[in-house]
Amino acid sequence: MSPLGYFSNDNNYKINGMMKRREFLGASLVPLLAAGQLLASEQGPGSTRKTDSDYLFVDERYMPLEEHVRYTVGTKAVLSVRADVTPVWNSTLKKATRNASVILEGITSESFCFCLQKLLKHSHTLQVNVHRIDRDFYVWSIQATHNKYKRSIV
Amino acid sequence: MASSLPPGIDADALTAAFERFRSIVGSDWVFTDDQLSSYRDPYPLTNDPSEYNPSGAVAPASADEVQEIVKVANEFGIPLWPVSRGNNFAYGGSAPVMSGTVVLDMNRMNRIIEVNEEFGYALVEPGVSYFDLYEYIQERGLKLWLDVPDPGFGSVMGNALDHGIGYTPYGDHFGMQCGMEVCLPTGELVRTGMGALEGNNTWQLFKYGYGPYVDGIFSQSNFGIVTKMGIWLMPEPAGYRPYMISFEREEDIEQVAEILRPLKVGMVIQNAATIRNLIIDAAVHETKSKYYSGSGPVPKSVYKDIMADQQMGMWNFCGALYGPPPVTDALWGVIREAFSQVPGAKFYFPEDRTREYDILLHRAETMKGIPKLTEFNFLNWNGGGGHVGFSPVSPITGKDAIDQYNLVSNLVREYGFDYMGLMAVGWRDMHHITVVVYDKNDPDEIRRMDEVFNILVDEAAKAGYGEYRTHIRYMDRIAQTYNWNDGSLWRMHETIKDALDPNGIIAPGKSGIWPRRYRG
Repeated sequence: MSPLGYFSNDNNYKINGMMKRREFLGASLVPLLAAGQLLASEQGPGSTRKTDSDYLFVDERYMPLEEHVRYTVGTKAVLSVRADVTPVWNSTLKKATRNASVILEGITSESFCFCLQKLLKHSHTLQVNVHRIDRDFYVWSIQATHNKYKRSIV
Repeated sequence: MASSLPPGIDADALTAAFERFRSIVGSDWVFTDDQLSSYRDPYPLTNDPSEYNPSGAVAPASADEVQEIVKVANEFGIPLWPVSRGNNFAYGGSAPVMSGTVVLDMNRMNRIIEVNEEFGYALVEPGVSYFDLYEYIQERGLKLWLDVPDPGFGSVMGNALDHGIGYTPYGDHFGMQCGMEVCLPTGELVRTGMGALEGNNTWQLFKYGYGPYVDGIFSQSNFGIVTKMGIWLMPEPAGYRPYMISFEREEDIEQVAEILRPLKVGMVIQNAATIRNLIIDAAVHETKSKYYSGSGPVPKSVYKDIMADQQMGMWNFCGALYGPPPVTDALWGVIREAFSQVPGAKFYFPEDRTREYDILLHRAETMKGIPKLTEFNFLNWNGGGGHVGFSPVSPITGKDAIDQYNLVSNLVREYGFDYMGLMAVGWRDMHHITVVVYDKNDPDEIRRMDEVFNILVDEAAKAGYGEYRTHIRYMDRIAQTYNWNDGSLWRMHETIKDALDPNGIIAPGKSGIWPRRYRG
C-alpha cells in the first residue's frame, strides 16, 4: 500500500474534527517525510529519485518547529515556513538550486508548493506529487532536475 | 491530456510546422503533448479541459528566432500565443484563448540590455522578471527602485503590456513604458518612438518620436510581438515612510473615497495607493479555518474577530511617503488631518504594528519596489488555491466606491464566495480589483465561479463600469461591453488586425479581437 493510503485524498475531510486529525497526521506524516518514505512510491518506473530529500518544509501552523525537529533532526535540512515562499527562496533555495538538481518535500499550504514550482520551472524539469491532507494543508514532493538547456536562474 | 489541433489545420501540417520550429530553435525548445502542462491555465474556470488547450509551445532565444517562427507560422497558418513569462495567473497563465494555438514562450529572451542610473530606465527583453531586474540593480548598488506588482516572478514587460499596476509613484506600468521593439505579424521588426531613428540616443527618454504614437496598440493586443521594451525606474528617494490607515465600518468606503480624491489628484498622495478590504488582507497571513469552520462566506458577525486578531479595519488604506523628511512630514500632516474626519480611523507606521506576520510590514516592501510572492498566500484562504480577478474601473467618488462594493460583494457572497477586494488608486480612477478565491479542484465551485463572473461583467456594464483587464475566458464578453456606437472601437481593432496580420497568426481572440479568418 502506498504510504499515502492512510489518509483520504478526496477532500472528504471533516472540518469539525480538523485539529485532532491534523495532530494525528502531523505526528504520522512528518517522520515519514523525513525518512523519505512518504512519497517515494509515487515515482514512476525508472525514476532516479533518491529516497531522501534535500529540504523538508513544514508549515509552522501545521506543526510547530520544536515538534517536527524531534522527528527530523539530523536527517536533512528542515525548514519551518509559513505560506510565503519568498523568504526561503531568497535566503536558501535560489542559491541551492542554481545549476543543481534537488528533491524538495513539504507539508505546507498550496500556494507555497505552487510558487515553488513556478520559480523552478524555468531552470529545472519538475516531477511533482501533491496530495491534499486537510482543508488548509498539502503534502508534496518536487523532484527538480536541473536542465542545462533551460535558462539559468538569474 | 491530449493537445488540440488549431482550427482548419490538420495533424500533418502541424507536425511539419513543428519540425520547422525545431530547425529554428533546436529540438529542446519545441514542446508537445505531455510537455504542455505548464502552458495550461493553472486556475481553470471551466470543467471542459479541451478549452484553452494549446497544441504545442516553442521557445525562441532571440528576436531573430521570433521573426523566423512568425514566418513559418504564416506559411502554415499556425496561430501563435505570445507570452513573456506566462505567469499572468489570475488571467489564464500561458493558456491561449483558442485551443490549438501554439504558445510562443519568450522566457529564454531574458537579457537585461541596459539599466541607466543617470536617467532612470531599463531596456529589457520579455523573459526578464521583477526578481531578475531587482537582483541586477541590487548587485550593482544602483540607486534605482522598481515598481512591482504582487507576483515578483512576473515579466516586467508582460505586466506593463497587460496594463498591470504596482504600488510606488511609478505604479502605472504602461505609463512608465518608453520605446519598444516589435516583431510584426509579417515577421518584420520595427522600433517605436525615437527607436525608429538610426543612431538615436533617446529611445528610452522620449516616448513619442515623430508621427503617430503607436506603442499603445501593442498592449493588450494581438497586433505584434514585443521583443524589447524600455521601462522608467524611480530614483531612490531621499526618504521613505509607509503607513496604513484603518477604517472600521463597511460603509466608511464612501467617505474614504471622497477624502481621497482631492488628495490624489493634487498629488498629496504620491503613490499608487490601495484601499484594501479586511478579508483580502486577512487571507495573506491566516486561513479562513482560523476564524470560521462553516461553508460559504465568512459571516459578517465574524469580521470583528478578524479585525481584532490582525489589527486591521474593515478597510485598510496602505500608502507611502517618498522624499526628504521635511516634505514627507508636511504631506503626512495633510493626509492625517483629512482622514481623521472618518470616525474611528486609526493611523499606523510599521513601528506601531505588533504581529510578526502583518499586512503593513508586507506592504511596506511592495511600496518600495521589493519583488515578492507573499500575496499568493491569499489563495490559501479556503485551501483550494484557485483565483480570478474581476477588475472594473470607476471614478474616485464615494458613490462609485460604495455602489461597486455593494454590487460585487453581494453577488460573490450570494454565490458562496468571500468578497476579497481592493481599490487601487490611479491618477484619476480606481481599479476595483476583486479576487474571487475558489477551489480549483471542485467542479461545482468552478461552475459557480464562472456563472457569477458573467453576471458581474454584465451588471457592472449596466452601471457604466468596464473591466481594465481580464482572464482569457471573458475576453470576448468584456469586449462586447465596450459597445458605444455599435461597437465601433472593436471594429476599428479588427480593421487594424486584418491589415497588420492578414493570415490571423498572432493571438486570435486576445482582448476579444479576432482576425477575419476566425470571425463568424
